[in-house]
Amino acid sequence: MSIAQGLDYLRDGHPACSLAAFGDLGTRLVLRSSAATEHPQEFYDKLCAQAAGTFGLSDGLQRPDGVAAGNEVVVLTPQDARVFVRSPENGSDFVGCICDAQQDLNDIAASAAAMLSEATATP
Amino acid sequence: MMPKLRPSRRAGRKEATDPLRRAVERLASDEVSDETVEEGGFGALIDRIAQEVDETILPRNFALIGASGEVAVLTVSNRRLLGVEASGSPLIPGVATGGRAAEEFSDILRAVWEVSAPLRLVLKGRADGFSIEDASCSALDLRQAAAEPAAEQGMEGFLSAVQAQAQAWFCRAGIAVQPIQDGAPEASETLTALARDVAAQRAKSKAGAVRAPSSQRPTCAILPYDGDRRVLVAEEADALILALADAAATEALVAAWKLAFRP
Repeated sequence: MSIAQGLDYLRDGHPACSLAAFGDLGTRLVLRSSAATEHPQEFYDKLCAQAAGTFGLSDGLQRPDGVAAGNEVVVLTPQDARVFVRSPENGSDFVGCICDAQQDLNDIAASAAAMLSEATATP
Repeated sequence: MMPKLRPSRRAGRKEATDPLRRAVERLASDEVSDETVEEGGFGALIDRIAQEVDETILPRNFALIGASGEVAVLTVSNRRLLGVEASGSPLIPGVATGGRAAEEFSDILRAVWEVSAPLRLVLKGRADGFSIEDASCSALDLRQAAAEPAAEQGMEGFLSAVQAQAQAWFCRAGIAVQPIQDGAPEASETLTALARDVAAQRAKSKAGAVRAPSSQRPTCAILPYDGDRRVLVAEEADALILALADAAATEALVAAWKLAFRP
């Protein structure tokens, strides 16, 4: 499965997910996306910056001993909910989903993690 | 007669260059159609302005014309809206940029629209006397700010609704992190460190270019902490609220957010 197909399947499985994007947190670039409407590049740049900033905060948290930083974060905005899942393997590849806040965000995060794992797996 | 295997390359090139030529002519022109914006309401006006912002590279002034004449002047350069001057009162939003500048511009444009609609947007000519360090926003910022529904309760309503579900609350004002509510012993250390990280991120963002991708829209990040708890980072403008909450309460937190920001 290609990354583009994976993003399309992800949105097909969650109709309230208006956008799914695959990007790189290191370079802060969205490399592939699947969206209900067209967005300018600036929108994707901001999405990447938001993902990188939120994971940065999550990594900086002082957690109890033995607890690793997670790879899933959620950002709520007045208009939507954004689920960001990053690859546990390289910590840089990530999938971001924009959806309605009434959706089951855990379910979307699980689907995004599965998609990310499958699409970035080396054959 | 030889069959024609492919379309003429010359024709294809002409098709490709025509839109480019039109775009160049439009960018270099001092004229713009003075189209009336009335059917689509305020949203159509914002779309029209955003389109001009997106397509304007050289410094230009645009005028909004109502029935009584010119009601506002917009300054645009480098695909950024740099200023909105309504009824002779220049807007000086200080160092605001991105989302917050867009909100201020949107508020002024809405006020002008409510008093003077329908309006026409007319190119006035080359702009001067502005600084690129002035507050500015992109077309996307302006569209988002104008589309933002007025929240029913907002951040205050959200925090009130979820207070019972959080174990510790901290509020950052200036440099100090002040506890609002006592909680687990390690929470103080965790949240104080997190507040410092947020402050460092913000400082870095402000030190960057005018186009720093920051937004002043309210957000609430839910971060993993341990198996049973999550950290909430709620931000709006300069306010920052940090809390630890039960992981099991995440759904309730999301529902409370949705309710608080319902238009």
